[in-house]
Amino acid sequence: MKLVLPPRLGPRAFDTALSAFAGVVGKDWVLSSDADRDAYADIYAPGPAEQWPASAAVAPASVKEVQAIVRLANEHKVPLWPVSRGKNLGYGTAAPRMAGSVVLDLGRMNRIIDIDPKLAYCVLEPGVSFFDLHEAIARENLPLWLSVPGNAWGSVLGNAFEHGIGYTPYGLHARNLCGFEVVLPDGDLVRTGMGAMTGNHAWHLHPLSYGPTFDLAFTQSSLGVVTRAGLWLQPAPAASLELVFDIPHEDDIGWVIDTIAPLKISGTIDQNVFIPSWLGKMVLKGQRRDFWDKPGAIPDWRVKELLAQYKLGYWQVALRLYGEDSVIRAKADIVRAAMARNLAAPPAEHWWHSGDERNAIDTTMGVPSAVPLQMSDWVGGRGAHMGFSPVVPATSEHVMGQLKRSRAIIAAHDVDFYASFTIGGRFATNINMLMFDRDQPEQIANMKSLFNALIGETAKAGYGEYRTHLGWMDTVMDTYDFNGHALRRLNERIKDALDPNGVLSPGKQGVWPAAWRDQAKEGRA
Amino acid sequence: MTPIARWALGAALTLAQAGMVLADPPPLPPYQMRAPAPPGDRLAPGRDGKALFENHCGYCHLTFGMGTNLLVKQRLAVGASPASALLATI
Repeated sequence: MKLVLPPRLGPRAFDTALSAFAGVVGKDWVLSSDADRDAYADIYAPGPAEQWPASAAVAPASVKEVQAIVRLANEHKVPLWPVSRGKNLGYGTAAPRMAGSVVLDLGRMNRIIDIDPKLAYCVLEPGVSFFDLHEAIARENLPLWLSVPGNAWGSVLGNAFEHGIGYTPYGLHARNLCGFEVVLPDGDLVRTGMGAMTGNHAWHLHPLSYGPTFDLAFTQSSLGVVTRAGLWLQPAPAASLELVFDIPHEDDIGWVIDTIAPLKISGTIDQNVFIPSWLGKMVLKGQRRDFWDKPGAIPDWRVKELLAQYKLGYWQVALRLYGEDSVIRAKADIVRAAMARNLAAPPAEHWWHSGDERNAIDTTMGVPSAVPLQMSDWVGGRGAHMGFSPVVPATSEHVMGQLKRSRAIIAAHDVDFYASFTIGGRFATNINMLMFDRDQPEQIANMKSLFNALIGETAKAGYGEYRTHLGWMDTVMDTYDFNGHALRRLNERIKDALDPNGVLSPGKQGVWPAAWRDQAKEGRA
Repeated sequence: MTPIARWALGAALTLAQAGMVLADPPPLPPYQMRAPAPPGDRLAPGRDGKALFENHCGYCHLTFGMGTNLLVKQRLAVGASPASALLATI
């Protein structure tokens, strides 16, 4: 990828800044060739990756190096875009929101600082992947499980910072974070929570600060570079039982939500319950041309044929219970009875007991995998995906309304419908997977039109996205409009106070520092 | 279970066609550990190639990894052995 300089920075000043960075990290860790820039491009970009170009990357190996780079960025007026491992596929990968930003790649900071099996937590640097942590725990045979997302290539902390979700009792990943170390935009170093006291022993155990608690202000945020954080882990259970219900019809999702959400809220079910539509199974069986060889969405009559042929329900609930055997049996009786009020077929049941192997792709057992990414092969070519991800109350009224609305908009754009609802308790996260071939401009144009329609109509109905791709960060922030966009104004006031030069992540989630606010119209999809 | 046997089971499940899909399929193969990253400078020659492959590529290219699964489909489509999709064996 050819060089795009940061706004208002000339080539000589840019070279001077990179030389200064090399003085901190060594020249091997300042990455500024065309091939380097390709490595930090958005490989799932809806359109040319050149729309969100990094000018270079710099990869520090320690907190002191991060502090030095941030101070130099202020001195040279160079915008930085910190990434943990840069695997935020579908939401921008490692690419920056503002063209010409220098990616601050924290992948070398990959130490597992501590794992405590007794109190079930660990302390990590941002470069630690889900695979790394899982294998470190396995090698020591520690009684701990992770909660993993669909793509476990990424950083454990980075996923939590971006509000990622998993499918275990610890599935709301940002809620597992406890106690941060953060480099602020001026290079100062702060520890949050109990860690604000030198040598405090409860830093990663007590989730609140003395005074305001700032931890989550550093997630989906441009207010600092988190260099380490505590993360609570699930104690390995003695046993687990999976109950798999195939749910036959599209409209059944209403009673399913009204059945499962109360059980989740009451604590009978403690995992995040993932309910994908049928296409979630089909994408692992082949490409769409294997099942439907015409352009446009697979018609309903063909969907019915495929469901019958492959013995699939329209939805699948693969629900998992964890704990002592006797407790699981009692809970399973309650779940079976609740589901039986609307579904005659009993679930398929799979027991696991401590000492049994966990299979290679079971996200409900915290095993890291990248297999769900196979979905991008569905359309063929240079496949990619985006996720449209609004959050709705976990009741049939809201879920059915969201389903019908997004279904109609997606059908109007003649795109295959692949939705899931993940019940997190009082809310459900509705992720609509939109898959496209990056080499088909008409598909990309259609996806952009579709995405804009989904954001607009969903916001009109009173629901917002929890996370989005770089190209829509401003559009989604626009939907949070209470009192003249008071939330954005608050974010901007804090941002300008802490980061007057706007060196950290300008434009992240639609928050622009005064120094770069004139760039906010650029880079929108 | 040997790596090849585990791979074969995984591939069969991934590529299962209509008549092969079971209501209660057998368990998938267990997670396969990667080798730890060999120590030393990333640019230095002479590091353990097998360990490097497993550590850097093993996210996707060991048994039942995403890359292995996609390559199985491609290899079958050109009439090649599915075992050739497991890069560590070729």
